[in-house]
Amino acid sequence: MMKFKVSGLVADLMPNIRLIQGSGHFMLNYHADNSGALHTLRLGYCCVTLVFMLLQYGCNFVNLVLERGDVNDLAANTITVLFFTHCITKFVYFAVRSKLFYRTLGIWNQPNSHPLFVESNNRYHALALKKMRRLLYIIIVWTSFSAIAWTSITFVGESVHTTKDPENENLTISEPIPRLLVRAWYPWNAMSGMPHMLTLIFQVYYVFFALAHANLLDSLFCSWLIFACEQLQHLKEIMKPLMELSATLDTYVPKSADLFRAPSATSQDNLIENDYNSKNEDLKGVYSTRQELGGHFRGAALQNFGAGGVGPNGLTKKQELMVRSAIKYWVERHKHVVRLVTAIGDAYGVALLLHMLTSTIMLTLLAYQATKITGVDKYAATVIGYLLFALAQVFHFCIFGNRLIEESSSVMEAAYSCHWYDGSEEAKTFVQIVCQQCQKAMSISGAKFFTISLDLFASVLGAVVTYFMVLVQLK
Amino acid sequence: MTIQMIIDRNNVSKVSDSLQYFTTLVTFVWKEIYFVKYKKTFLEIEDVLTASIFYGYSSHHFKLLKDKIGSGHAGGTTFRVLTVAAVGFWGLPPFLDPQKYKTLPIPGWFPYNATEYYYPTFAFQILAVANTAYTNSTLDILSWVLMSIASGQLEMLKETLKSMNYEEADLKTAEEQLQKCVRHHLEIVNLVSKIEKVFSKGIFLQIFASVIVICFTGFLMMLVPVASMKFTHTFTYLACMMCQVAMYCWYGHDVMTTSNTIGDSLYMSNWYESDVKFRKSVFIFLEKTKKPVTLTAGGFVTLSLTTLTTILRSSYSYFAVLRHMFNDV
Repeated sequence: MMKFKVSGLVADLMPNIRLIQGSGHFMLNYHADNSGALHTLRLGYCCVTLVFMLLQYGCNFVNLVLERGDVNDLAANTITVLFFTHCITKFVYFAVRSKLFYRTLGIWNQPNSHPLFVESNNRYHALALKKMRRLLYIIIVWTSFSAIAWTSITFVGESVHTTKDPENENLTISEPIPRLLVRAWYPWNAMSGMPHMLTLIFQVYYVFFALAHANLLDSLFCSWLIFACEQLQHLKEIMKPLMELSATLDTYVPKSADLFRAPSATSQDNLIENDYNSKNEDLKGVYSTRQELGGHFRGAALQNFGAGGVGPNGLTKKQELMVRSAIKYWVERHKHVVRLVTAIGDAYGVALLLHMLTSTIMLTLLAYQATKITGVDKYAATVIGYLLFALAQVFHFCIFGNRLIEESSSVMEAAYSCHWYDGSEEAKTFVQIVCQQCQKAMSISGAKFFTISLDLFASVLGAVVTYFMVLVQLK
Repeated sequence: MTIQMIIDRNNVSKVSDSLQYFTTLVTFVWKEIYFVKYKKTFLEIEDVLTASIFYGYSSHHFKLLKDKIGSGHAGGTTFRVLTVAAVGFWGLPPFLDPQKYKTLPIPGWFPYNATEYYYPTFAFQILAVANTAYTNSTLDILSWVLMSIASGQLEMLKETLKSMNYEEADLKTAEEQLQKCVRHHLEIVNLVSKIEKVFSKGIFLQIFASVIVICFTGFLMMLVPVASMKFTHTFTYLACMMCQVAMYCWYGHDVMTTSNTIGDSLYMSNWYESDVKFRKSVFIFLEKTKKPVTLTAGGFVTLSLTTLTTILRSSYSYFAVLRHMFNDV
């Protein structure tokens, strides 16, 4: 048995992963002990969860078919069935495509690093971690709150439904049905007593786990996006020092040791010595900003500069290599982020497409249901609850998708706003190609049909409001 | 068939019955006319495909090309199967359904009494429809496979760009390699423009007709009882039509997205090791690859998945209007 060591994204997302495993998703990696017996046990747990989910979903569906006579009941049951269709879809989708998820989680296992930029990297990494934790807490609170609200609203009001009066065809009477969270058909009589209690508990488990399945996967997706955005922020931040470092290639270069020592407040005059360049009188003012450069170069590895021959531009070989390696680090890190975003899109794109399909139909029906609200009662509360939950789910991933688009398109601005005109020819062509590449923003698409952004959320919200207005007019 | 439609124009359901085949037939005739008209350009396509720039790659590259052509063939086979099923289901009702004995599959007006010469007329109709369906599907599959060849070539170009190693190469070899890639790109753009020239107007008419056919077929499906043979046939026909227009949009979209990512695959190589002088040529190449290679229908409708959703949405709205009209009548 190998010693279990987590790194990269897996280490960052461990609480997320543990919750996902706890809720019964088919994520069977990332355990310290993956021996045969424990693995089978975990697999068994997942399969049992799947069976329970499908059974209850089947009961819901049977109920839908049985009660299709009454239009109101049909609409309400269809909404419930669609809601849980989405949860089951996410569950099955993960089980089927778990390899892509593992690949995405493993992409950041070996990131490159550069001594100059370690501090910035760690800072943004910590920021990403904080945001991911915060998101996870919000999701947990929201899911638990929804489940508790659903359970409590079951006990409010009458538990009846209307059917045709057997004596008089035109009248409807109300007939009592079991007081349960979701209307479902059971082969046993769940009206009262022990069966009712057990069924109620089973339904609470079902609702809570179904909500958890859907929301936890969404939060995993959004955590990945948070990480990618923070990496882009890191890249934007190190662009300026990189430019200024590369400015030393062609223009003035101070004594190598001075470059990497924190300058004291009084020694500004001594910092810049015109040993090799004669035409730098006008640049003296610019390079008094050595302080900010000095702040980045405190690594111990840089102390032994000064050895080695002098290059053609007045730079030592080591300095030239340092600049080249910094550019290489930047480009490789950016390429790594692009690879991560592509992997995220491959892993989750189809799930988003299916989500949007079910949500669209469900929201249309909810708009229809909303026109029948006649005051503040249980019906209004349930309809508004469904509506808010569905819209919140769509908003959840739209906002992070939008942030990714914004961050990736602002890399070009960062590249332009650093002092590229001071840089060497090599740095300028580097900026040129980076600007070219970053003109097109990185975005997640729902299997190529649409892009995930706040525009999508706005169009969904607009469509719901439009249907509602039209249906209210038609009434 | 035209005369029958004119006679029955007040009865919406009967009109829609013949209208679907009529539209398909008319579209097919027009596609054939355009294909024959641009025969010379089609032969030019064949010449372009034999250009040496498209050959001389490693087997790894060819695997990419083969995958794309494979997917083109898969789409084509699915469509063929659907057409055969549609023609089969359409020919069978007169034999299997006792109510419809001695009725012809396509309602038409003939200058003689159709029931007397039933079998020859039936055979004539079956042959005519089978022939039309086969040739129509061949034309479509031809254009799809050509589009998938273009996108396969683009994939090969991307692979070459991604695997160029600038660390060891000196300026001269790097420049030569880039020149080869630029010429490859130009040839692919040339190929796609020729494909567009041959098939574009036909595809435009096809899209237009598909909107009408899908809406009328949907409407017919609503009228016909579920368990009958006619319903199965109408359903297969609807699937056929949707598959046809979806395939055009899919392969066009594929070419567009693949050409969009050429710049990305050059970025994924280790270009930062290259010479500054070389990067200037790279920059000009990247500028050109920013514009995606698109296939258009009739010059203004780009073939992509967004167009597909627009087509389906418009079919649905016409279908809703038709249903409303029918309910009022």
